[in-house]
Amino acid sequence: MTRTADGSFARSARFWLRAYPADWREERGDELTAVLADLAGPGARRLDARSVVGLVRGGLAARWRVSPPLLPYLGYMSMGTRVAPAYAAWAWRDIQRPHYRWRRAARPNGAVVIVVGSSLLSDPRLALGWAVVYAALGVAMALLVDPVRLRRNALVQHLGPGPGRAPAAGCVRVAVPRRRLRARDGAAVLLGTVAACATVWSVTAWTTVGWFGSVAARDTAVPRVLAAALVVGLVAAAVVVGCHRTSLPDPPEQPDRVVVRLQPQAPAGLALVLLAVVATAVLEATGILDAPMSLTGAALSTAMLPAACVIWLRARRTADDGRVVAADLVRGAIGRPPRVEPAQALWVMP
Amino acid sequence: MSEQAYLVLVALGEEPRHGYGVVQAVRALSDGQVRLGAGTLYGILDRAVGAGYVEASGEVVVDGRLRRYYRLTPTGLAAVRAETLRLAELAQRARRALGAGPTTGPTTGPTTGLPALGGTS
Repeated sequence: MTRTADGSFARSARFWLRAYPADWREERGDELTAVLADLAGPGARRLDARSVVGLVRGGLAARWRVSPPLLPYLGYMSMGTRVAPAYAAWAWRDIQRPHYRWRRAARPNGAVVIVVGSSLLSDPRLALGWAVVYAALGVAMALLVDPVRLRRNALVQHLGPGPGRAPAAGCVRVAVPRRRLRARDGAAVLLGTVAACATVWSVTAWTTVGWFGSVAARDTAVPRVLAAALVVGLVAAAVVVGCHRTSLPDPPEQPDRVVVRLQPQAPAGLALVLLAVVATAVLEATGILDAPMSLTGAALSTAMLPAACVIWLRARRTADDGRVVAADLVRGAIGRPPRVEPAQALWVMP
Repeated sequence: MSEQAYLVLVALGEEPRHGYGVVQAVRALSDGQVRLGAGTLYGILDRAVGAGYVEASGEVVVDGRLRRYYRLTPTGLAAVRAETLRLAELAQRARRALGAGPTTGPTTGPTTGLPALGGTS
């Protein structure tokens, strides 16, 4: 923004101009500041109260004009539903503004509101516990996902074509190489998460009477369930070894692919996943949560653990050339060979 | 169309003006009655541009201050003419109604003392 009026008046005007949407300011801010300066007359050092009220009202009205009506707005914010075509430009600007992943993480997810809200009615401690779990997972996601890919997926979702809908008006299609997580990184996250879940939830299940009602009931149920889960897991791991052998012997070249690594903040994200798991364990161990969550979770994660180990070992043998990425290993685990991926089609506003 | 919006369109119908020019013209047109603030003015301009009544017609920098000029489009001119006609007809009907209707309270003379309305059309 160029200096349009002298020093303190321009600063004062710039401050109150923040009532307007950023792109409005970008386009008309200088001009509006000049009009304010003309109206204020020479020697004015700051905006008078009447101008301030007018600017705040005008700014809110400008925001109101460009943003979608309340219900579509809430749908967009809480569930990521697409807004009407007239507001595609608004969605585009929202996705383009800085810190998109953090803004996404801060948005109240519809399911979270329902779970936390309903548990608030029965037990505030449970509501607090769920809120901690979801907050930790939300921040963890923001730390773990590739921000570029998150933005691109949002562009596809909100501007691109879909079943029965055309791309948003005024958008142009560009093709970009697909970003895929490096096999080693993805496998490490998978193994780390599954191992943490299996450990924390198994320990909780072994040591908490809670839902079982008696020590005897617990001591019969837990070993059987976990042993069964381990058997299932070992069979699954054997299947994965076989599937990988047939699906990944000669992976194709992937010219439209870029291999990305985990974010530098990913370890903090994994720590937060662990915190969320520990929080559920605490909820159950203290009797606030009256459900066999840890036993269920322990069984599922124990059943997944051997296959996660197999995938991790296999990932250590992949090169970083993009022929095999984390997604290919997961596909390959159920016997589907990697396919040559086309470039990703994005719709952007010029 | 609000009175302020109407006055802004009339001011731009006269000649292309920049923001501060519009404020001054509106004040003159309304005989000093309507003093537009910058927030109100740009709200009106935004809506008028959105409706296709007004378009930007270039910018100049005077004394380090950016001045963007706005002018009426043919659609805007048609709209402001239609509104002027409507107001003139309204004023005429109002004059007839008030002139012909029964007077209330004591009168000091024949009912011809009403000032002429709608003089600016």
